[in-house]
Amino acid sequence: MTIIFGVGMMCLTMTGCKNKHPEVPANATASKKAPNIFPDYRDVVVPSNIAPLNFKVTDHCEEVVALLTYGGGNQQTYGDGTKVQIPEDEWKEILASSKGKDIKVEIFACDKGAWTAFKAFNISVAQEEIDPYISYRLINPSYVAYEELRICERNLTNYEEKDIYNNMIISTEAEGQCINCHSYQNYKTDNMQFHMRQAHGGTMLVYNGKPKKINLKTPEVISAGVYPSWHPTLPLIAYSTNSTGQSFHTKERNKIEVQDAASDLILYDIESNTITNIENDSTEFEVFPWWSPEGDTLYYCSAHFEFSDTAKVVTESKSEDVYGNKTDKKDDKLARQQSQIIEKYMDIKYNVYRKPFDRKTKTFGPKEMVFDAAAQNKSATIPRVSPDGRYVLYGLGNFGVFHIWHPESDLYVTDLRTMESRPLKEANSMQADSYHSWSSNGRWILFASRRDDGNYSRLYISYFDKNGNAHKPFELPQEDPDFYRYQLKSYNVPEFMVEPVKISAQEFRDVAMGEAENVKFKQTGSQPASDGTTGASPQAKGKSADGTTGATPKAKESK
Amino acid sequence: MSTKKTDFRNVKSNNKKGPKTTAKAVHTASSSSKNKGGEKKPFFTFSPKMEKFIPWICFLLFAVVAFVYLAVLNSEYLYGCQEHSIWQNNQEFFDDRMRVVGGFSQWLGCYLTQYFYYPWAGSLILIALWGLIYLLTLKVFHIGNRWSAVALAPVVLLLCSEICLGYWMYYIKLPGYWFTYTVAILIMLLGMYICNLYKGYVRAVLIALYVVGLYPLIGFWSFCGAGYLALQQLIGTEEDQQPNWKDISRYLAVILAVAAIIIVPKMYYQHYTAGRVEDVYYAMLPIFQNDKYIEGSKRALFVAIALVPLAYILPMSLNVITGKKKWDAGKSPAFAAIATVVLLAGYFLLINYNHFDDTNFQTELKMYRKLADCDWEGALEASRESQGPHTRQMIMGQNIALLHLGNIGNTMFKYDNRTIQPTVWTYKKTEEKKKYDDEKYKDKDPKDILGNLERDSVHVNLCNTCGPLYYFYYGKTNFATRWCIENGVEYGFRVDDYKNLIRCAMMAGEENVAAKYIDILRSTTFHKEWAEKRLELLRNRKAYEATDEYKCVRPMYDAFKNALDGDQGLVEVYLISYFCHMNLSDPKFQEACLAFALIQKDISLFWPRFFKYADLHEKEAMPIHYQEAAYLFGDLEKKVDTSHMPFDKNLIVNRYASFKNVTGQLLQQYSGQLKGDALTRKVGEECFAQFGDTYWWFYYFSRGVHTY
Repeated sequence: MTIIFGVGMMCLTMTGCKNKHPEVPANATASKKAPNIFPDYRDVVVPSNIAPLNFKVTDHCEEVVALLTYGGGNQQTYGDGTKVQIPEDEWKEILASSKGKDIKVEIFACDKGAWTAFKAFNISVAQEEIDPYISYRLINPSYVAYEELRICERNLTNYEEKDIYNNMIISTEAEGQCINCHSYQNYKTDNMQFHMRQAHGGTMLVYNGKPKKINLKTPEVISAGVYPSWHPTLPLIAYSTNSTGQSFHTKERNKIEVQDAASDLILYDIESNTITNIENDSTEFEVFPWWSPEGDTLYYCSAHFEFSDTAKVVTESKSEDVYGNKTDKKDDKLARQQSQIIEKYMDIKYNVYRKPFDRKTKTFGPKEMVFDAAAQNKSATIPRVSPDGRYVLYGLGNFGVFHIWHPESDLYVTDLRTMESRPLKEANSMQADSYHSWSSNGRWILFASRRDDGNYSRLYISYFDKNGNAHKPFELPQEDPDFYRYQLKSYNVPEFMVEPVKISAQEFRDVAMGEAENVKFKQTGSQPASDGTTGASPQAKGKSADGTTGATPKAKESK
Repeated sequence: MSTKKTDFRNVKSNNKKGPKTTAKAVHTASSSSKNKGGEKKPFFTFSPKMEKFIPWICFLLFAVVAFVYLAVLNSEYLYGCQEHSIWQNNQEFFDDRMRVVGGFSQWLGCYLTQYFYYPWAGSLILIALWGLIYLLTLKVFHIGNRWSAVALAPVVLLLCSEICLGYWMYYIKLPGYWFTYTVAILIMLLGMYICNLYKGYVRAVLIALYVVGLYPLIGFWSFCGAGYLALQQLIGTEEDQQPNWKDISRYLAVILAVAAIIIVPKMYYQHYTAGRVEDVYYAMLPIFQNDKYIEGSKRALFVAIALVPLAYILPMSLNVITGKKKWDAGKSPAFAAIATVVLLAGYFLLINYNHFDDTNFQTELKMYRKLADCDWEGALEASRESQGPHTRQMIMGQNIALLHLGNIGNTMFKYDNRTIQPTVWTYKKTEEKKKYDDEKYKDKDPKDILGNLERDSVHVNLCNTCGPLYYFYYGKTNFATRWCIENGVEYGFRVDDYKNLIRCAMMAGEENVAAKYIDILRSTTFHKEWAEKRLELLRNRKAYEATDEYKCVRPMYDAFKNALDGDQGLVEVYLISYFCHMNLSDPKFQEACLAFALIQKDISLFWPRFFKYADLHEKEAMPIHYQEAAYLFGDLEKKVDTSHMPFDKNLIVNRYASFKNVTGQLLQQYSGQLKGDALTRKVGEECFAQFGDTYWWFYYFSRGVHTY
């Protein structure tokens, strides 16, 4: 009886009887108003290989009919209650016949027996396709606890989603595992990585299709590698190393402030299993490395910050490295530093820099300012260079390093030919628009945005045309238009891939259970430091390479 | 149910001559004594009619007891259970449940748990499902009417599992716990019943398919079902009196069952990425675990449920092994009757033993419910009904109600402020465990590590039980939101979390996110109405601003400015520390500052807040507890001149003199026998009846309060 009841409930929950192609109502009253739909797919530009853009009409009504006109006069209707869900095979046909053209969508809605014909809108189909896969981490917009975390792969041409890795495959109550920062070399998955911290911590590195676990923490660096960037062709990964903490706003909508009390850049050479310093200026917080498409330049962000020795600890904050090693409260110096970071959190502004890289010697040249955000009283994060090398795309907020909690943060680009910077107005919203990545053809930008409700990050895709203009983005399509209403996970670190990950979560788990291979730190005595001097411990400098004045920088103590 | 059964087995399997003869034999057993006048007449016999009703009588008795223990004695708890669970009528919720083994049972469990919104309704549904389990147990294990009391064992254990939780209610990570295992066991038995309809090879194959089909739905319980089916197949069934050992299907059933139990979970492991390979055999066997402690006794109830059928099958297997009837005690009606009475009494004792009967726990739940509705008087009434000492949650709840009633200065110490820890199972670590923990946490500060404490169990924390709501009522919406999210992430989002998230988002003007949470509650069955009302308020700001909730909390919310801060997981410590260091101009917020300064017992913090209170309430009478504190501190330190202050002569001046006099005498009286804390405690106890309603008593005798 219970089963019958349950199955009945399940059926009620899962599906209703659908009239596949309803009739267009004959006596609809025309309205000049466009319909409100969720997700908002009105006047968006979509790739010709995207999954069906199912949506729901949110204007008050009981029933809707959507009439799609496409491909030189073909028409088809859809509608099921207030939802419009288009079968995949039919949608593919619609897209195929609309490449480079518009699909006209007319919505008819019935409210209390009266039909209204809303103002039509278009869905433009671009000529260019989108990479078929993306990956992201699903995480609650959490504070300290995280429980289940999933790094997922989504096929953009349909609704298929699978776990690349799920921490519950290894986590126990006492020993949870945090996973983050999945990244790929050149959009391919034979060379990829993600971090695991706390239980069975380490970095899962897949190289030439074979997974292994490495430990990137050595005594010489602040932490194990955090934000990664694969060199496009060489077996090298640039990482930031960070001492990250978080504090809680007692009243602001931001709720959380995530800050670095220290950060540097390192380079990991996979073949030799060694890491070397790229940037480790004690008065700079260097973070978010990203290689240019040619692999001859490394872009990154950096904020200038000097600690005062006399500041008192104003409050405690939690701090842990990538492996979850909590900062010892007795470490008074670090506590004092974190305290200062908390006090001055709004004064920390990150700029975008770049350094030339010599592929043969694997050494870097002096740093150069790309975008001076601080001069505009702003802070730039996550610089990503377009695949054609012409634009650098970054997030710009008022301060700090973690813009997903900063509602004012928007996407900006700097044209590297003219060095002109501008916001991507069409793509941005009133809420946080943050972590972003380019498709392999450079025509699509995938980013996380909190525009739906201000609290949960969702993935949006914006067409970036040949003239460098972004278009109104569309939300990652889901089979059920109500999906995002009930989904409590945030989408985090979205990345494009041209192929699926070939290793199963279970295989990753088996590797994760084993011991991590320790990397070795290599001193780079001949490596030019950022200020042009040589040596691993940069001494006091009068003026940094970008022309800004570096006030009394000191050599870093051992990290 | 047939009356022709004499022991745990169906009688037919007891008698080689078949059903008709068996029936005769049964009657002979009871009625032959009447016919043979020369023989001793048994002192008790079952008439066939009477025997027919035994299963019903047994279950009726159980049902009455179950209803009393559920709906009567635990109505607040059951209501709390559904607040700490959720079922949503949407695809996303269903898909999310189905990502783990046993997800379907959990989904159904969540659905049914909702009915505890009306504790009587949920209890009746639960009892009805237990009735089905009981009937299926009788059928599947061929238990005769006379012995039907033994078939109550699984449902008795399930009842125990419902009422034993206590504070685990907040901490279990088992969606729909209160119905999930009932559903799983029901599915297990139903599957067994269906398999038992077939024989020989068909049944052998069905047993394997049973695991394949049911493992995703009921996990571990599919192994139990398959195991018992295979065992039944091996040792024979009612039609098969003397096992035919040449029948290959017997062995095939065992082989297929064992193979399925070994292989199927591994197979499914490749499909389910949200579980550990180590746990595939225990999926859906509940575990009561926090990060440092596993409470085995609660899991033992489920292990017992899994093992109980062995007792049903054992008599049959003994017959098979020995080739003769060993278990003939079942023939004696008197023995069966006595055994039934003993068994029922045993069940009752077991139920009573497992009943978490803690007045403070029940009162906390009642107060929480009242506070959530801004029913301040109701919360205080619940507190008054419960004799002290009280938990910190109750005392904090009292103070919130009093603050919002504007009466905290006159009455906060008139309520029992004596503190007791929440009742939880405690244990002392073995040396081995202590060594292990010491080694594991050697680099940590021992004070920070729960695992290094001697006393360790559920580790109740106010953040998890009432923190979000209490923070909200002090205007701390961000911290309230934080703990809703932390709790939701850790233990699964529940109705209570969503309600608090909605309250906070609306107060903070985060309308879109409030709408999202309202949407979620609108997809539930019983909280739809609450959500619809909230939606109306969200759309109508004026109506929202006219609510008690808004009027009470908004001044607190508006009073303070943003800062970066953290509570280190201690709600009360944070609130005390925060408020007693603040002294703002909003009257309600300022009064909270003064009240917390009293609790902090910090004289230097008290005076500025006292004077500010006096300024803000110039034309009002100074509340009695603030007078008590001022008079006491003036007397103790003599730094502030209180001589000009218009203290109440009877309630303050004379009574304080009396307090000093009485306590002085008591100190003198007991100083010969007791010293230090013991002496203070004794004096406090002795004068509590006379002065327990004063700040003076709280200041001197409320010591060593442990918040959590």
